[in-house]
Amino acid sequence: MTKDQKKLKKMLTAAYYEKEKTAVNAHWQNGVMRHVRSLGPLNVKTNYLELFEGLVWKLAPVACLLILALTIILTKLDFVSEYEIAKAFMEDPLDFSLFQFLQTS
Amino acid sequence: MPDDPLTPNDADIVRRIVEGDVNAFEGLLTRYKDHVLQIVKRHMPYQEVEETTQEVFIRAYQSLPKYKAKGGFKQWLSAIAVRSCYDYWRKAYRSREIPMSSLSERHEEWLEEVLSDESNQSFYEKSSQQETIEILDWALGKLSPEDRMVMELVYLEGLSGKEAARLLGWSVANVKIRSLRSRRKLEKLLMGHGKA
Repeated sequence: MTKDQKKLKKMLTAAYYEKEKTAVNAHWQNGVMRHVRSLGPLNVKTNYLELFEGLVWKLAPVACLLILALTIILTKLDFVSEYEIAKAFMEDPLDFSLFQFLQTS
Repeated sequence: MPDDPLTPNDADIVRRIVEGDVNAFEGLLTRYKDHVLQIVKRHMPYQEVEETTQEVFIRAYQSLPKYKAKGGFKQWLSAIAVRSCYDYWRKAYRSREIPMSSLSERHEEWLEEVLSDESNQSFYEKSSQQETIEILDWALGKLSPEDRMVMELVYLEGLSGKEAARLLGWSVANVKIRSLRSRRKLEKLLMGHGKA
């Protein structure tokens, strides 16, 4: 920061805090309380949507772990996808039958 | 929070209000009115201070059921105050109630005089005068409401990016980028005039 920039900052900061010295009407507090009383007691009904939102984020890591675990289990199983069945059929359509396929797998 | 064990703490007062004791709110109002007024006076034009401070307390009252005593009541209330001021400037910007004129010749001369003054004593005397406040208001009026708030909190009040981000409810990265950009813009606006 150059000397001029420092001077400018000091000047503006001093002016900024000078605004705090302005006086306000001493009775504004009564106005706030009047308004608050007119609103009446607070409505503290349970908001189920908000509760659900909180729960969703708390359960997100559990859901991620579950997805990961299921993916690992599925890859470990002897799982043959539809794509592989179609591939076997395309390679040898005459000899291919579902029965044969099931026998080999 | 008060040290006197007989004085109810903020959490007790909040609990009473939430349970339906509307008058208990006066305890919080009396305890924090000066703090909120200080924040609002710094960010708002003089004629809007009372109305905005009222709005801050009304918003706080209505949000009390959502209040969680995590960072303390004062911090929570400060964030409401800063966000209310930001809302004011957003509305003002949309309706173009902000000054769009250029700096007057009188202000340009004043700025040049203050920046070239070598005496510390007269520098501080001049800094606190109405002309300097008008120059500051003019320069801040040239910024967007977002840049204005960041400028006031980080550059003028000296808060860290993290503190300003918490008050405004923005990300720290957003505050830091805005802070850098708006500081450059403000300096360009004022140094350009001061050097002219």
